[in-house]
Amino acid sequence: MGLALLIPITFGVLISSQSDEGNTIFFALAGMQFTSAVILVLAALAVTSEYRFGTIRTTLQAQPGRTRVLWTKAGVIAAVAFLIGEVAAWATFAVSRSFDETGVLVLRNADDWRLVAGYGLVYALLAVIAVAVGSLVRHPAGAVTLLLVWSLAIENLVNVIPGFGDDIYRLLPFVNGTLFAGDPQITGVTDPLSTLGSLGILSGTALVLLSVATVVLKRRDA
Amino acid sequence: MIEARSLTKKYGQLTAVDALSFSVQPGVVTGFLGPNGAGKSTTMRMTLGLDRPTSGTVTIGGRLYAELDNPLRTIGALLDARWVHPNRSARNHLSAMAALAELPERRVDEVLDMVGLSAVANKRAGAFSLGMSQRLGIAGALLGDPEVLMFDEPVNGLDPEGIVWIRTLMQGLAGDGRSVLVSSHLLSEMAVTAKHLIVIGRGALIADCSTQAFLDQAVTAGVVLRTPDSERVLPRLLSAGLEVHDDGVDTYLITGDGVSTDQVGYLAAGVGAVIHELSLRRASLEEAFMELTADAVQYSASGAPGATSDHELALAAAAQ
Ligand SMILES: Nc1ncnc2c1ncn2[C@@H]1O[C@H](COP(=O)(O)OP(=O)(O)OP(=O)(O)O)[C@@H](O)[C@H]1O
Ligand SMILES: [Mg+2]
Repeated sequence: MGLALLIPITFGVLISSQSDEGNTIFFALAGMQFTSAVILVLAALAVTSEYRFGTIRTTLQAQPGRTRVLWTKAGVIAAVAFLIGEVAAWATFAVSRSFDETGVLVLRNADDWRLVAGYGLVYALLAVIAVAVGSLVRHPAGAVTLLLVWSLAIENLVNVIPGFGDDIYRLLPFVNGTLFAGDPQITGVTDPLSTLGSLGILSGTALVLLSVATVVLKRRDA
Repeated sequence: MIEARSLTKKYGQLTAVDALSFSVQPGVVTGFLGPNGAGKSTTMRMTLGLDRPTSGTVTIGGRLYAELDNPLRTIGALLDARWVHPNRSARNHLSAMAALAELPERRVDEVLDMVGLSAVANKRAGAFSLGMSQRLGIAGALLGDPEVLMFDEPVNGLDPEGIVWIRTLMQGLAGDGRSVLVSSHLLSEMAVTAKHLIVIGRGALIADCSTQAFLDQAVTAGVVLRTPDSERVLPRLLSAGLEVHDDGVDTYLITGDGVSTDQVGYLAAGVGAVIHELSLRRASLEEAFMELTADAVQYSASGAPGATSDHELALAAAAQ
């Protein structure tokens, strides 16, 4: 959990104290992108450890409503992830600003606000995805590997596919997490609708995965 | 009261529980007996709604587990003492359960006291001995003060003191008028704990009767015969409809309906055989149990004495 704060702040300080020109809010918060991996891992482990220790059976004994169990868990973990996202983003912003000498780290409009405040929402949705994957895969190592390979490797490699690769890239959930909390000048996503579209894709993915995880959890033996 | 109706569970090809029907009545400890792999744990997991029956139902007081308003208040169970997060203290584990089931926090201290874990309530459960883990599991089962209790092999790995403690506890619970189902693969343990027995093998029902009736039926007497004249006496015994089992050097265990030392003695004299020893042997409880569930044992070491030697001996004797 400390990592979730330490990584982005360190990045923010490094970037903001080094660059004299071209620093932006988006760059100062670059470390937040790395921290999303921490969120995925923590959220997935929160679910899979129940299977590892067999405590899921104890939980389901006390509360046999499986939908309720999974959605409550997703809600709580998402709320924690949201808080981590907000705290980390604002702390990084504040610390970076104190190291920045160019004076660009100022919130001028709604877009600037989104660049910082957006991370809470992104982290919350990433957490829901990780909870769903964790519940489906059940093995800690398996779930974590799948999430990291998917978010860090596969989604970035799709971009390299010549021709349609770029089109698919824009539809991938983790990419859209980045785009939502991204700077239009840099990501190239300029109109507000596609910013919202990014949020839509990310939350749609989270909802679909959580629904699939719910159906599967209800069907199979605990 | 637990009631299973045609309860069946298949794992792929394997039928772990096979059209099982039984009911567990309040006021007595009911033993759930069967060899390893008989399907006891699977039946219990289905009762708790953890595993989904392939067909059939099992209800608690007429309702499926998922339909119970507050399951922990209705049925408490210890299926596996390891289903505890090792880094949680005993108290935290029970508090988490109580919170999930909306039970008052004071129950946590009450049950910790009942199972004698108050002194170590704040120690991490991962450091508990098997006996302590088992007690913690039982505390969890008692948390909701339920009318129905279910324990899966609760005495496994316990020392004699622990075994007596659990036995007394279960009988006390039944004495309060609760339904208590306890599984075991040891008949000797069930003989002193349970009033009623449900015996299964390969997932199917073998017996559902009082422990006394089961013992009377199961503990068959055999006759031990030591003789140097086996080639003469054994065919005679076999032709009289008795069964002959190898029991050591020149020693045989004779079984069969109403077999007695008198009968074997007369038969031996009839063929002029010398007898060195002739005595009655009461089968031990475990032997009796194995006899009854022999066909139902899934994992028997091939070539184990008794499993194959009967037939071989019969054939050899008949050939002579
Ligand atoms: N999840 C599972 N997947 C596949 N097979 C299973 C599963 N659970 C149990 N089995 C099989 O079902 C059968 C019954 O197992 P079960 O654990 O219910 O037996 P048991 O009577 O509790 O045995 P024991 O005395 O060893 O505890 C066994 O053959 C077992 O291998
Ligand atoms: Mg078992």
